[in-house]
Amino acid sequence: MIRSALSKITCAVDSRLSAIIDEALSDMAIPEAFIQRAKQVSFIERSGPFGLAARAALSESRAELYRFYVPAGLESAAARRVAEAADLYLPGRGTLFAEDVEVLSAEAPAYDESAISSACEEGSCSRPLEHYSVLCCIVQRGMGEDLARTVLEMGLCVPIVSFGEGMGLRNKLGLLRITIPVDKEILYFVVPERDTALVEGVAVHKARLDKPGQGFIYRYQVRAYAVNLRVRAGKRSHAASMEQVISVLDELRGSSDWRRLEPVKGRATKGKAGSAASNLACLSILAEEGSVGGFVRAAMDAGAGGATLVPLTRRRYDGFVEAGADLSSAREGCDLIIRTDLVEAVLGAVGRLGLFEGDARGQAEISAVGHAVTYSA
Amino acid sequence: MPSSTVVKIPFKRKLAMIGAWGRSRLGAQARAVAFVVVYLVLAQTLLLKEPIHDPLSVVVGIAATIAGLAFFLEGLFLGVMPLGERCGIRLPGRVGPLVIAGFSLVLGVTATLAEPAIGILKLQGGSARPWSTPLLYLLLNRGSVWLVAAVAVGVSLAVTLGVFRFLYRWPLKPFIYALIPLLVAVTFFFDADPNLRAVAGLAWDTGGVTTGPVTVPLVIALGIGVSRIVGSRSDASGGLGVVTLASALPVAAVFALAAALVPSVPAPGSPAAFFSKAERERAVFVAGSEEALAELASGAVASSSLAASDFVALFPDYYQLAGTSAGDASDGGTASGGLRARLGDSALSALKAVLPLAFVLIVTLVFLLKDRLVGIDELVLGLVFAVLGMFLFNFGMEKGLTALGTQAGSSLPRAYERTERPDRALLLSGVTEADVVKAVGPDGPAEYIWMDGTNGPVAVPFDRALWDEASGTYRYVPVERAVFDRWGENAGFAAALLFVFILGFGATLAEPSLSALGTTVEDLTTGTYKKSTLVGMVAIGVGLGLAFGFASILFALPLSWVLGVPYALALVLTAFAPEDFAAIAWDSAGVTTGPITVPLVIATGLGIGGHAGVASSFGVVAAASVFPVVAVLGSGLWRTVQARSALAAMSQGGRS
Repeated sequence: MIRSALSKITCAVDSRLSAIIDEALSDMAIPEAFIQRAKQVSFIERSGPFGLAARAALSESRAELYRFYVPAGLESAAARRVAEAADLYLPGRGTLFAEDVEVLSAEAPAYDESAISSACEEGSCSRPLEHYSVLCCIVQRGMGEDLARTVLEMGLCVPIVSFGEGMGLRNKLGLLRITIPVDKEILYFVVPERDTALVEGVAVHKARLDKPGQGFIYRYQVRAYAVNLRVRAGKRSHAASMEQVISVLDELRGSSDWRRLEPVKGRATKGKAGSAASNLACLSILAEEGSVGGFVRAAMDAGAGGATLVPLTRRRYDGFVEAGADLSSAREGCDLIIRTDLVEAVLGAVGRLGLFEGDARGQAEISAVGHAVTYSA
Repeated sequence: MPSSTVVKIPFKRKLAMIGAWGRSRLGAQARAVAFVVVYLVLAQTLLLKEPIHDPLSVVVGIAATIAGLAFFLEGLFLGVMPLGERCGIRLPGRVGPLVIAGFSLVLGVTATLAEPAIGILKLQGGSARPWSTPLLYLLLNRGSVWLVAAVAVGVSLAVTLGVFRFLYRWPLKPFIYALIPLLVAVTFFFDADPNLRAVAGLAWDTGGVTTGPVTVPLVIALGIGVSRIVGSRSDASGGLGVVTLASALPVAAVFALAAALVPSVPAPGSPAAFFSKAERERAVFVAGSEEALAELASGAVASSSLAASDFVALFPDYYQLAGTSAGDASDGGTASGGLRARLGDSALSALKAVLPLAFVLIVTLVFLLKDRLVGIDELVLGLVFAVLGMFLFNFGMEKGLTALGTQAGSSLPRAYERTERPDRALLLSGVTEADVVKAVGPDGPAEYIWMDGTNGPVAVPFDRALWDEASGTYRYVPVERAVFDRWGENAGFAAALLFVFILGFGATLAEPSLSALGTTVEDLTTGTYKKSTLVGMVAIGVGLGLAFGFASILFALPLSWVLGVPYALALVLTAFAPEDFAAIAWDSAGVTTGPITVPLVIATGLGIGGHAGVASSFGVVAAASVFPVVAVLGSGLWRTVQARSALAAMSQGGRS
């Protein structure tokens, strides 16, 4: 097992732009990317008959969530290349952010550094926006729409929503587990650091995360290169939309801190019964379709709480043609939020079960988690 | 997938969890079925003014249907679909294309044999007679084995092509462009031949009814599995499209079978011509043997279609058969015996529908693909639920919804035509020739008698056939005016078509295969195309299709045009639709005509068709399949246009 310190770039784009992202990744000969089906949720202005009774309806567009790794030094170049290829600086097209991770795999990934460098245009003015966080909220299927609507109404961000299957207490109930819904919704909110407490509070309240079995929310810091701020689409009566103006100001200021209206302090999950925890890490497991459940069970036996499994598609962009058993591109992934002191024990458990060898063709990834909230008895 | 450690839950808490789960599942199905049940009851009692016969049995049947649907769908999601998806995921990486083709062929044949549609088709055949539609009669009786074989070949080819389509990333649209126009063209060709004309409807309906409630979710899951392995870019449609092929290729197979058989059967004509010595060889081919042909002829004598003297002349060796067949088929079974038999039949058909398919998949997974069955307890429970659900559903449909639909369907012609009511017949005594009076009308003189009514004497038409002159008794059968008589005949037709539109809409809301497809589509599109939207659009399409189908029966429209025009529209829309929406729309055509819609269509079809003097209601199911394609494609195109304009609006904004 080899440990590599890399940058993980995550890019959520409208699915009609996927071909452009694929082309950019091919130009950079990125060894592999993992793609998750998702959707971007925003409001769309709809006018009623004769221009009366205008209302904002929820509009969902299909999106794809790309995750790929690059050496830390090439993060900015690669992120810029992808963001510029798909014009993600335009509001409404997508979001791109990066974070530091440690990847554990059977062999070290090989990168064509010259391809990544040469594929990126020089002189771009874009630079990452500091002080951004991603909040990942896992709720029962069907609960996400209400939460997404609230966050949109507050103008905080454009939620990215994906579907997954939960594993946790449910899998310790024997056959009685069929009575607990397995389907989960995963909502990602990419928001300025100053808004994280607010979004977290809204999520806890709306999704009733302070009640048993309702869900879980955690957050981690990222370097945001492009953030989709288009919470509302419709007719535009000015030369630039408000989202474009905000986006330019964010970029000029290097952060979104100028948008702060009140002190952050005291807006968090005040008065809620949800249990907050820190000193956490996110251990992500990616492996062959159908095998991740076994690794999660091993992780749970080693002290992990549970996880949400998401189906992924693996695509290669380095021109390497796989054959035979390697043909499969179906993968599964899950994020285990665990105490940092448990990471090695859990890694040992999944390693012993063969995560890094044989048919599983798996890998693990460790990243820092700032904060997590869920029900605690 | 249970963990190695099991949490102990107190018994009361367990009961509460099971109770909440059961309530949610039963509630969902009760809501799905409620529309069509309430509608049928209201239409029959308030509009057609007919009481519900045997209401207790109907209530029990509907309750069993709801429970059956709940168990069946749970079984699909726990057992059948994961098994199919697992097979799809494992197949491409572990075996070669030849083995995949073999597996697909076996699966197709098993699916056809497991959910045989021949019973449904025979019911739809209704009063098809060997002399008026010889080829249709042959295919529904002696040739039914060939028909099933042709369908099996079609479904097998469809599954094979479907899987290879995912493996080699072939788009679905070229298959649609190649197959559908060809099938429509063949339908026009068949329409020109009186013998083949009757079979065209059968062929199209075969495509609709062969894709049963177990087969459809299974092949969708299989497709999803294969598609995920290959990782095609068009992920949202990944797995869809097999049902389209499984609906179209059986039609082609039945067309081919019909074309091969038509030279061997007599041309449609009178019974005398059919049984004549000149056509004897071909007629024997239709009947199967000289003895069977003689039996058919004796039946024709019994129904006054053939003169007894002709029978004796044509079948001198078998003349004693005439008149002896009546009464042979005695129904000696008791009510409880009948119930037991129906329960047994329901259980057997449920076992046949689920277990052979599950067996093929499990054997393939374990022995061919050397895979480990994950979550075996859940899998077994799922299969048990699927069988139990299918059993309850089969039984419940017969006693509940189908009975209700049959009652309403048989009363439906009353909306637009005068109807005799033998159930309200009166036996009048002391009727003599002196009581008969003549009245002159535009059609000449008619005979009447005076009868004592509730508001005094009324003159009622006199039919001498119902009068026993010796005893002086007269059986008076009242004739009711059409319900919409006062608004004219067309209002009655419009009301009947509106009735079938709403019936089709309501029945589709409860279709289990559509529910499974809706869930799958919602998953594949991450909820951007909601299950409720798909089910709603398909339900509107089925309603429209049924209305058009029944209009073709009422107004004797040629099937080629009834199907040709909407299919042409669907092809045009397909050209503009994205690949994933095309797959969703065309697959929805295959799942619409399921175990709830089809019996109700048959019940209504036999009611309308019988009154319209049409031998069968073939073609209605096919019409109900094509309109959902148009509806779903239309909604998909609308969404695409909206999404494109939103994206264009963003691009026009310029860089920030």
